[in-house]
Amino acid sequence: MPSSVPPFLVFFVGALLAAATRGTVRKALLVLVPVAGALNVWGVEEGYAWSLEFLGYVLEPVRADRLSLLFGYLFHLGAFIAVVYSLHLKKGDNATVQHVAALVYAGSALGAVFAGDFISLFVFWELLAVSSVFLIWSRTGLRSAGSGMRYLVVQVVSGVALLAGALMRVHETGDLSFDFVGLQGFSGWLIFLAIGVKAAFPLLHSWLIDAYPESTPTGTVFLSAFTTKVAVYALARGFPETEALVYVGAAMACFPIFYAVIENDLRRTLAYSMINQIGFMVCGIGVGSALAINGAVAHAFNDVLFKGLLFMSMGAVLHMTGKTKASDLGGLYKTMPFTTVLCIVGAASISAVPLFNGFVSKSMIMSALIYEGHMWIWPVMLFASAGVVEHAGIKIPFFAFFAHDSGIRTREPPWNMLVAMTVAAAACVAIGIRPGLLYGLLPHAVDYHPYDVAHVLTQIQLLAFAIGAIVVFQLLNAYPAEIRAVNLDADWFYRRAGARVVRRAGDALAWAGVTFRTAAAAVARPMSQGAFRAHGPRGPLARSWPAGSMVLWVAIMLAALLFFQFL
Amino acid sequence: MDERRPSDSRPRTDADRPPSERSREPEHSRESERLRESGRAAESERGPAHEGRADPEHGAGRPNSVSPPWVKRILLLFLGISVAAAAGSFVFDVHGEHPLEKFPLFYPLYGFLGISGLILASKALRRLVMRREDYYDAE
Repeated sequence: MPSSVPPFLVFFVGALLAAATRGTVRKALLVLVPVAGALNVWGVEEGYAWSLEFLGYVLEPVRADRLSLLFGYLFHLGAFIAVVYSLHLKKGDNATVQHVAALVYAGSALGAVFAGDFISLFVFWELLAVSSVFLIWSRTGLRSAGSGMRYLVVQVVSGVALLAGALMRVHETGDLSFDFVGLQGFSGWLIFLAIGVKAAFPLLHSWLIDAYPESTPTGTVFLSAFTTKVAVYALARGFPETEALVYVGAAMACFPIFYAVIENDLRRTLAYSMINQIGFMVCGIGVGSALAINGAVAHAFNDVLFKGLLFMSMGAVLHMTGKTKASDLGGLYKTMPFTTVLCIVGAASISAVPLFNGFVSKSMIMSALIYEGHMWIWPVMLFASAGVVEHAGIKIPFFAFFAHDSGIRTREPPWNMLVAMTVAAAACVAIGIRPGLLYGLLPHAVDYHPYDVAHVLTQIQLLAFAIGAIVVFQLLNAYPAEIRAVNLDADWFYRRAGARVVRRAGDALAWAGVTFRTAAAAVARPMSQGAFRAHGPRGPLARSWPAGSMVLWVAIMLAALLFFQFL
Repeated sequence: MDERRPSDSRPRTDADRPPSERSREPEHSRESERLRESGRAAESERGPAHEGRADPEHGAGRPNSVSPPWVKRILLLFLGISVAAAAGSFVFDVHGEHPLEKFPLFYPLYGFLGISGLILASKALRRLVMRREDYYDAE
């Protein structure tokens, strides 16, 4: 397949050119990069590989199979939508930094999913972290600076763990290639945890909650598309049918929905929602049957579309009003009708309403759970599905665009934002109506039909009555009100408890230092005073002696010597 | 859905407690009671990249408590859909793949009770984890 270049190269070259250009030229270039990249990756066929030898190891920076190609197509689509969404950026928005960082970031994600060996994977893994953090820092302010730094530390630690695990694995097996890993030995666990950090496993997740909502309106759209999806890809490649993932995924799908109900910042609510959706993917990968893996990666594909759409709609609100908190918003449907409709399309998609894309991928995972005998996990995931309706399906559009009128009167966002959202919404509906579009790209041959009477009807029942419960709580004024507050999460352990431990340890060290110095002074002072008394300016040993007395003393000593000699 | 939002009915206690008191927070969930509506002033310096284009003439006029007339219509339509969907269980053969699905009206009940439980549990979670908005900025 000689006509194609490595997929990441297109984006890296694009980033270099974007750094050098300005204005309309750069805008044209930005749109051109994902389009050219897509044409390029279209020419890449299964089995394409590019390998080279480095320090005695065979590296394979590009290797294509159906799994990596699917993510390759997805990332081009995601990058295209996000790039269009960010076209309006001006100099005051750190446009150059954001555009360049975004292209490098997208290129790194492509590099990671096409990487055939652990060393290449590690390089792209770290590049993902280093490039994406600039999207967070671009929203200037102390809060983003802190968030970005915490994000970077966590991501780099994940990369180091990946490298350590990979090197141990090479030592054990002599094989660098990134294929099935499994939870064997310490190296397997290290790699598992490294991926787990990026996939936002429970307790390793709080970087996502912390950092994504602190990014710029456009940056969050990029962030939501790549990092976690690379992790999902890596799990699908390295740990399919690992039973632990079924339970990890179920936990991921469930715990965030409780937080999402009470979160006031709507973009942070979406971040929780993101972990919930990744939970479905992780669970599917853990089940591991052909149907489940298909469902997991199809859901990853759809998630980039609908979660991107939701983040874009909230980004549009933030861009136009400067606010994303439920307590500040409401009534925006009057002045942002298009955005409202597009947001509702995203909400319907993520809620898995039939005819939208969430439905056609989530049903695969749910069916696979039953077929593979996970009878206890199925109701848990069904509960999580209903929970999605609550926070993403209803809460996001309701509090932003309806609810009480906040009095804010604004306008629709710039045209490029509307275009990007429309593309994403159209893709959501297209895949929902014609699942074959997506099914044809999946890694395993598909024989699955989401649209039978039982599936559609039961899904509508579940959704309708879940929404019914929310309506009842609203009418009774018993729904949790929007309150300006932060909710403690796992990051408390390093932002507060850890910080406190470090501070206490510092205090203890300082105290020990002071005590030691005092004690040492108490011992040393009499000694120095004694020495001063003897040798100081007035000390007897510092007096000047006349030469005559010296001679006298010498004579006395010689006499004493003679005396003892003759004794 | 209801257009009227209740302004939070809980008592508002003093929001500005001395920092010395704040430092013990994580162990005490009672803190959560104190921060309702606090920090309203802490809308903070982090100006978003684009300062609000909100029309100031209309600003701050919350709450607008009149529900538009279409709210009731939508709710009725929604009620109709729900009832029709539930009735569908008795018309079509919803062949169960999971033992729970054999239960009559399993999905409607599960959806309704599940979300009710979710909302109640979340309210309880608030007591445990909610802190004032500037919690992490305080130190």
